[in-house]
Parts: sequence; C-alpha cells; structure tokens
Amino acid sequence: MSEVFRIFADTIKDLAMSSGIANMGWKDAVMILISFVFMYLAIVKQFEPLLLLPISFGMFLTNLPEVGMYHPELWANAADIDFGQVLHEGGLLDILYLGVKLQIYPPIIFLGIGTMTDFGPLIANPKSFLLGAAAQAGIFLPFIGAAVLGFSAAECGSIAIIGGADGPTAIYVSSRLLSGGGYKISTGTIALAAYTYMALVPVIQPPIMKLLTTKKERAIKMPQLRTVSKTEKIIFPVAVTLIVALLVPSAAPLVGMLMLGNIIKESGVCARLVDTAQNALMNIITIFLGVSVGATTQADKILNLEFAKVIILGVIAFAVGTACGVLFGKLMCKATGGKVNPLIGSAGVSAVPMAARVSQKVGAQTDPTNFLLMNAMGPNVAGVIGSAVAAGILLSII
Amino acid sequence: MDLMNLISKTLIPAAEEMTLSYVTAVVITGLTVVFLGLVILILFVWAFGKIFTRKNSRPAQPKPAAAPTPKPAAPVAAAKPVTDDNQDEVIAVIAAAVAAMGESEGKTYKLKSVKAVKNKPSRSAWSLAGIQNDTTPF
Repeated sequence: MSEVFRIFADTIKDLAMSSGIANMGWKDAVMILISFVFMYLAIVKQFEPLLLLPISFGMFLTNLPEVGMYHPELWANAADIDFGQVLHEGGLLDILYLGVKLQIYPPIIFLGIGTMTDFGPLIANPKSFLLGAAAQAGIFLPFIGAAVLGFSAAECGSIAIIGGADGPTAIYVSSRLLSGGGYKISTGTIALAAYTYMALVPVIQPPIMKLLTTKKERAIKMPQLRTVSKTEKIIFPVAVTLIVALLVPSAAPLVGMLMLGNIIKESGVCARLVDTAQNALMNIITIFLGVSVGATTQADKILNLEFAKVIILGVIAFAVGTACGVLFGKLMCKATGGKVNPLIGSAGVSAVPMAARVSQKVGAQTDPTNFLLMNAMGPNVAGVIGSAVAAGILLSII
Repeated sequence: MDLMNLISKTLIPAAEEMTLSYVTAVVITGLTVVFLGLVILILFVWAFGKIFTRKNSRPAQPKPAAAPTPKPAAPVAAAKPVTDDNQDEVIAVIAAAVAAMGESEGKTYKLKSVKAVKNKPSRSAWSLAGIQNDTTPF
C-alpha cells in the first residue's frame, strides 16, 4: 500500500514540477496580461479585431510555459533554418509560422484585398497617385529616427514600414529584413505596433488634419469622378504590375498578387474565385497569419526598451505620413486653384478604407454637404500600391 | 530597367555602418523611386484615360435613313411644372411630414416662414439625401 502511495505522490510531484504553474516566470505572467489587454482592445474597442484578436491569442499561447507550441530556438539561426527539424520537432505554431517565414501569407492577403478593391477612383483621378506617394514619407522619414535611436539598418527598415499603415506589408518586410537573427525586435513586435496604430487612425489623423488646414480648405467641394469603363479597370492591374515589377522587382510578390486579385474581380468571369479569395481564403490566411505572428511576441522581444522605442517611432511614422499627405494636398490645392481638398491627402496612408473614411468625416464636420469619400478612395488605394513599392525599395536597398 | 539592382549595389555595402550619409541616401532614394514609379503610373493611367474618354465621347455614326415612321399619336400633355400655384401644397405636405415626425417624439412644431435658399446647392435635394444616407455609416 505504501508503495502505491509513494508512486502516486511521485507522479503528482512530477506533474506539478512539469506544470505551467511551476515553470511560470514573472515575464510570462506579464506577457499573458499584455495579451489580455490586446484581446480587450480587439473585442471591446474593436481595434482591427480580425487580426488583433488572433495575434493577441497567439501571444497568449506562446507565453504559456511548457506548452511548446512555438520554439524560438528553431528560428534563431535564421540564415540557416533547418526546415526538416521544424517539421519534425516544431509545434503547431512553428508549422503555421512557416507561412510567414517563407513570405506566403502576406501576398495571399494582398490577393484577397485585390478582389475587394475598386481602383476606379484612382483611374478616374490619376493625380491621386501623388498623394499616395507623398504619404510614403511616413515610411522613409522615421527611418532617420530609428537610426538615431541606435537600431540596425534591418531594424530601421522594419520599424519604418509601420508608417505605411499596411499590416501585411509590414509583416512581409519585417519577416524578410529580420530573417538574419540576433535582432532586438521581431516581426510580432512590428505587427502589433502596425495593427494597433491602424486601428487608431481615426484618433491619430483628425487633429493633424485640422492643424494643417484652414476651415476654408476643409470646405472645398471636389467634383464627382468620371465613370471608368470596364476595359480600363482590366488594363489597369496588368499595367501596374508590369511597370512596378520592372522598376522595383522586389515589390512584385505584393503588387502582383494584389493585381491578380483585382483582375479576377474586374474580369467578371471568375465569380467563384473572387468569392473564395475574398472570403474563405482570406479568412483562413488571416487566422494563420495572426496567430503565428502573435507567437513570435515572447517576453524577451516585448519587455524591453526597444519595444517602447518601436511604439513611439510607430506613432511618429503615422503622424508624418498623414502630415506629408495633407501638406502635399495643400500644394495640389494651390496648384489647381483650389480644386483639391487637402483632406484627401491624409488618405494616402494605405489603411483602406479607414483613412478615406476619416477624410470624409473631417470634411463633413466642416460642411455636412461635402462628400469626399470617393475622392479620398483614390489616394487611399494609391497608398496601397505606394507602400508596396516602398516595401520593395526597402528590401532592395537594405 | 532594373533600377533597384543598380541602387542596391551602391547602398548595401554601406548598410552595416549606418552612417548619416547612408541613412540620408536611403530616405532620398526611397522617396525618389516611389515618386518616380507613381509618376510613371500617373502618365500611363492619364494617357489611357484620355484615349477611353475620347472613344466614349465620339459622336455615334449617323444611322442610315430609316423608313418614314408613322405620325405619332396626339402628344401627351406635359407634366405640370412646379410653379407658385402649387407651392402652398408642397409646403402643406412638408409641414404635415414634420408634424408627423414631431408627433412620434411627443413634440409639436410651429411653421413660421418658408424661405428659398440663397446659394443653390451643387446637387438636388434628393441626390444630397441619397449621398448622406450612403455615407452616414462611414
């Protein structure tokens, strides 16, 4: 009987020693609490819930001790990852993370975005491309700030891309730039900052827009856009892919997939593919992307000064992008004799369609009969192309 | 045509040092290439937009003379234009609508005057109401 009791006691002791409770450090506990904060923001405040909720849950899972769903050591020597070892010894989140590491998920998300995007406003008013380009200053100017704060070139590029206000692009760029290992920040850090700020676009942008414009400028009414023919909408994705891929080849995976999605939508002959790309495929990849990116947010990557710096630089990047877009809008307003409302410039950051909605809202606050939504969609979708081009440039030169 | 290969060959060796000149070069190069790429796209989209606009606005070819059509029946009486004669009726209808809305809220309204808007709105009232309805959710 005593033998049975001894075995029972030893087993219970072993179980207790290998349990999560015995192995939980204070850092794990803090990270779990942080994941709860992000879950709260996603569910209650509805901050980009489609991605922030899987990211925060991935963060929660990866910081549970002894669970073994994600093994950072498998990815530590990023220059020489043993993919066979990942498949044999990796946990579920390691396997899902392959899609991030091999840059598969972000282009597929872009495919889905392409099937949901109407480039009509941009084709009708091609000058909108300039506003989309101006807002990309939000990517390149914070690069200086990151360099001043002591980050390496790859880290600077990853932080700067937050200013593009485009989650998949930020994940794509950071996962490639930070693939060498030994960095103070991770793709998860960048994704968290990017999605949090994208959700805060309606809070960050309006004060900057109002500060940089006069009431008279905000009240400018823009003419209705011309109707764009179906042929133009079909030629557009082919032309953009051709031009961008020839100019910046490293932007081709993002721009190419975005335009593939768009042409299958505009062709009108692939209804089933459109339905799958914008619903089932997009949803599956969103879950995989979110949870696996969240898994990379472990204590050593978040509970440090570098993460605080990323958060500060991220908000600066968003503010700079918005300000440059509005200032370029003012320039276009002067150049066209007051025909362009500078508020549409802020939509050049590519948070689609949130940034265009903000332009509409701020314009309507000044004059409720002013409808800028469609005019703002031009710079908004130009911003998506612009940030993909900027991403290609960062990947080429860093 | 592969501009980025050329630029990257120049900039990548300097990346490890993160000097001021490297950082400045990245910023200037990045902005220049983004603008260059998007300006090329503007020119392209503008050019094919012109072609399509011209094609669509070209007058239709005159149709060959058709066989004489039978004389139409007596013209239908034109719809009665909105004139001052029926303005009182319009005001009565609007007042009734406002009163009905007020009734549901437990309020009563008094119609004091009806004035014409000085600045003509850019869109018709129906069009404005439609756009307002569509954009309010945003």
